[in-house]
Amino acid sequence: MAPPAVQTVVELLLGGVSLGGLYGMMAFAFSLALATTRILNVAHGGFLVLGAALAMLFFRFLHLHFLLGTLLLLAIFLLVGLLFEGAFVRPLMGRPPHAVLVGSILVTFGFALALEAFLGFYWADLVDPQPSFTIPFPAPTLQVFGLTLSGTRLTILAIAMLTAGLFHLLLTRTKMGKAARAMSEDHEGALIIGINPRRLSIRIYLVGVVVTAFSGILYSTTAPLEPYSGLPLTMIALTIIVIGGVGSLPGALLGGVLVGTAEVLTTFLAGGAWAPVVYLLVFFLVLVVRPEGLFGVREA
Amino acid sequence: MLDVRGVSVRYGDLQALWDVTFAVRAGELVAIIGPNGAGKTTILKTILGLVRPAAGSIDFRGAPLTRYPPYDRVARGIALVPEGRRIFPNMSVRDTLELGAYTAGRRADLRPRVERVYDLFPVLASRQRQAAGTLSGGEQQMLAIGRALMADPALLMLDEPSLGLAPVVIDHLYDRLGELKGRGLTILLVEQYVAGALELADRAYVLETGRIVREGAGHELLADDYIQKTYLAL
Ligand SMILES: Nc1ncnc2c1ncn2[C@@H]1O[C@H](COP(=O)(O)OP(=O)(O)OP(=O)(O)O)[C@@H](O)[C@H]1O
Ligand SMILES: [Mg+2]
Repeated sequence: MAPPAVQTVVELLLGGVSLGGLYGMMAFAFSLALATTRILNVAHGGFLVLGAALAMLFFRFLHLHFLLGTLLLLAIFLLVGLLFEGAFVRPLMGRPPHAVLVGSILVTFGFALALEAFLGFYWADLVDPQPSFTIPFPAPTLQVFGLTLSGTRLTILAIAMLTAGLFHLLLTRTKMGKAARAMSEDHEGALIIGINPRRLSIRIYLVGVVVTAFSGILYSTTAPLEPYSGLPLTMIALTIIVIGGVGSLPGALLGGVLVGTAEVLTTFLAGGAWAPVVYLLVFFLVLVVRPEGLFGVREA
Repeated sequence: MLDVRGVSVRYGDLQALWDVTFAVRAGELVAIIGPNGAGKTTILKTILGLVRPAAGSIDFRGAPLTRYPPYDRVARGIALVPEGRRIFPNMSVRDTLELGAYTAGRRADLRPRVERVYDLFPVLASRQRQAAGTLSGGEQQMLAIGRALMADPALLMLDEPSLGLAPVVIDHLYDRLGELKGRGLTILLVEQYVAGALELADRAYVLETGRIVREGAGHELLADDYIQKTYLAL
């Protein structure tokens, strides 16, 4: 047995890093969409909540088979991505950058509120009077060097790392990924070489919503999500990409781990209410020291 | 090959092009010269579909282009080397070139195209793993031209390729443009570097405040009194 203090510290770090990895993957989905389409999706956090809610419905209320339920969720998330892109991204495309940014904040804010209301009211009516989405996933614990490690958190960390690896391959090896990088580095340059912005943005939202919704499911294996958790999660994504730099994968991961660890440590030391204060402090420090974000590109 | 007829473009209240008509025939190098703000970039953007004309028509290889978005126009054989190059700073030279062939089919073999660009600009071959943003201005311009050539265009449009470059670099670039012209590539060249452009051009148009005010063979315009006084400061 390791001394209790060491056990606690390791537990906290694993909690922070696994939460951070999860934050990183959902923040990168947000970041990629912002960098390529210039859509700031205020409803982004809502997709995590939606993912957790549907997973809870399928697995805990309807008792669907794991594989069937997962495939069904995948299909639904793809459909949500497609509809969301068509309803909110498409109409803004081709407008001047500031109009896209402001317009996207307005319409997606409306959508985020609608989603909150839906999950808050109708869910209570139709499914569960106390909407709180959680899918306990009791993975066996692991004993390493006399330390007890949470299997659930290790699983989350492994999935986050795998997702990051896949994102990396997407960006560096595929035509779609390279087009997305081109689009985020020079929008007009990308149009000039013949990239079809519509086709690219559809793909980005398909990937983005799936990754985000599944990261919501992962989140709900360790802590519940509420109908109103969406906007705070969007704030977390925003904080992370401002820390890491818009469009940067390593930035999103590092920002995610910083914010996740800060949140876990603060919650342990001072209580959950202080967590936003601490990561906003980190956010502020980064802005002062490196305004373009840790991995951001300094405008020429 | 390219027929621009009666094109007018407005940016809000400002009219940038007034009833612009000109043509580029297959195998020709046509130059458009004019001072700052004349509307040269606007012409090229309108041809590529980045800007919508308020009036007029543009035909390319006998078919009207007006309905098509930029990516369809690139696929039909129009490539632009934009003003300011617009390269992707963090992308490698090699990746940038390959992206230049974005509209070519998934199965298209890009190696011979890349090799042709490297033959034209050997310095790019030695920089192929380097991020485009780390290249010198002249190399970035070569990369922008190479990227456009990767689309295997029928019409290559260049917007002030000499901008901000040292005279020796400009000479080198213009030699390469002459080489491309010699191979029969159709080129539309927009410039403020009037002497160089007119020397290379088969024909040229002079654009001032959105209107074409003169046209003629390159060497004719070079000898023209008005051009000499206004643009060549002789
Ligand atoms: N996006 C825009 N919105 C509003 N006005 C514009 C826009 N782009 C260009 N203009 C205006 O249209 C006119 C023509 O601009 P354009 O860029 O086509 O000129 P140019 O001949 O390429 O100039 P330069 O030699 O400086 O590149 C200018 O008065 C310019 O200010
Ligand atoms: Mg211009």
